[in-house]
Amino acid sequence: MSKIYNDTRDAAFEELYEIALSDPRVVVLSADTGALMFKEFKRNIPEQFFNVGVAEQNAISVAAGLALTGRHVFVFGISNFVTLRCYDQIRIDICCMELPVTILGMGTGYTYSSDGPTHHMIEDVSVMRALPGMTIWCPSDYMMTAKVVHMAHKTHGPSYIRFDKGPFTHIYDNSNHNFSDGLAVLKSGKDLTIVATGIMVSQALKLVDEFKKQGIEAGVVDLYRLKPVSKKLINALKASERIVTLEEHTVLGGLGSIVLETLADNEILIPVKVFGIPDKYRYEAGSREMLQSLDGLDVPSISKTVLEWVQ
Amino acid sequence: MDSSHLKEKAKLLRRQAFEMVISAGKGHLGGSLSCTEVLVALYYGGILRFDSKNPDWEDRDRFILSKGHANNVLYVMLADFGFFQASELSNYTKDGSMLGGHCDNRVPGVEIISGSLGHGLGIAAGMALGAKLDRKDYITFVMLGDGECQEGSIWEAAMFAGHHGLNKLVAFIDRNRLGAEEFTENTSRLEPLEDKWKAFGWDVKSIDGHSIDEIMVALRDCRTRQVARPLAIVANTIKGKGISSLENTPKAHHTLPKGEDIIVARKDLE
Repeated sequence: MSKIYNDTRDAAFEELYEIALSDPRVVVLSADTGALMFKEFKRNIPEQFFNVGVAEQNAISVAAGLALTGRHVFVFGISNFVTLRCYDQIRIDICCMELPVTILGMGTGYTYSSDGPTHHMIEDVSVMRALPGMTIWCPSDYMMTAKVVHMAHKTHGPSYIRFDKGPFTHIYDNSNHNFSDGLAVLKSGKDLTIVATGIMVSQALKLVDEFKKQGIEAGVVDLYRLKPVSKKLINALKASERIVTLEEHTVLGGLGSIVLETLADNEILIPVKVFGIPDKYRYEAGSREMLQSLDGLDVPSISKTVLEWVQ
Repeated sequence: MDSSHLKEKAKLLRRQAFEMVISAGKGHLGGSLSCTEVLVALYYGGILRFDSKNPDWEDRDRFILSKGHANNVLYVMLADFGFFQASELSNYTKDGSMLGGHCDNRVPGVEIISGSLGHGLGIAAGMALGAKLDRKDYITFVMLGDGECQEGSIWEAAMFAGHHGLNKLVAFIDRNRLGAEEFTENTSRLEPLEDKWKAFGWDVKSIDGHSIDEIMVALRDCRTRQVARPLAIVANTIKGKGISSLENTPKAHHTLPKGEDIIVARKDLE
């Protein structure tokens, strides 16, 4: 797999198409959400792709039924609707029965910025990680998106890939990173470690440069598997004097909570600042950048807050 | 087993289920008693293809009790067939028992976990689609509660099964006309129920769900149907059937006879 991608859906579904060609027990269900590759599925492997219509609850139940006939089922839709709308089905039909179903939720965080709070996916990590047995990936670039689809295929139980439409910085195109680790230490820095996930990893890398100008050595940890959390996170958190967590997700129950839980569970006393979406819905229409700046998640705002904290 | 033996079997199972839940002090007897004859016809009437010694047999028919609270008679029946030891019934819902108050696929012979209503039909549709893709001829049967048909997900699944012409899918609707607290027609009206299923692309039959003979007639051609439509069988039943203090009352859902009523119920079930 050496293809370079510039689109999340291409990355996910070109790889999934290859997987489906080699494994006839793979079936893809779309809750009426599109991707270019679905034409190829329909043309060449029509028994492995079904658009089940605008019916996410049924999509999950049908996926469970198909999984009970020995298949690995991928369910694709807009992230809000393939998680929250059908949470009971995911919980009971998939998780209680520990079935090999992968949920592909597209458009996390403020991806669909101007579409309003119905489309802002800001609670999915909190609720999905509460499900026993659920594996959760949050890719931070196109290459990782492509690779975690393969990892999901090899996962026997339920899994969820929350993928952003980007645009992403290309982080892993030429790396040999083993994505089974669950995290990547992209940079080391003795003063500060920024733990970020998904689209915010690109933001974290920009912050490192900002901090460098101020004489602060900051590192970046990309926590791309949010469940199960890698044991390697413990040492990564011990690497600096302070920790910043960065996510485009509610501060309640997401990446920040994961880091705080890990620190508490391991009796690590290091100051932490959690950056994420405050406990409120955003009704302002506008760009993703505008929404991020309203929540203090743009580079200048984070930088200012952190510098005040550190100095 | 002929019709008269099936009727006797239904009586016996009712008595055993009753004693099981009285011993446990809990159970959903009303909805279990309303679907007893359909279960008996399927399992003892030679309809359902299964092997209790090999519950995971690939070519078995699937039976899904979507109204998973109504497992009382099903569990007694599965024990009768030797899916698990009959002695386990005396532990029903008790500490450490494998038999809880709702269906659990860890119990041999039980296909899916159920208890949250509105899930079983979609799962059954997925199984039936899987069978179709595998060119298998097994049938997926699913038992729905009528109150359960107030869940929107049932109609998502009904639409899907109709669209895909899943003719190896047979859904029973246990039409006892009662939910947990009220008559269905007093909460969110289901009628015209048969027309709804027809409109969603299903063949529909309406029968007396306590008549073994009518059930057997309704199922006679279920394996050879050529039409590309799933089959819905509206089984008109009585909640709490067989126990006079429970019959057709809302309390039949989760209330068990107490004191003198237990003695009366035992007489009712003779």
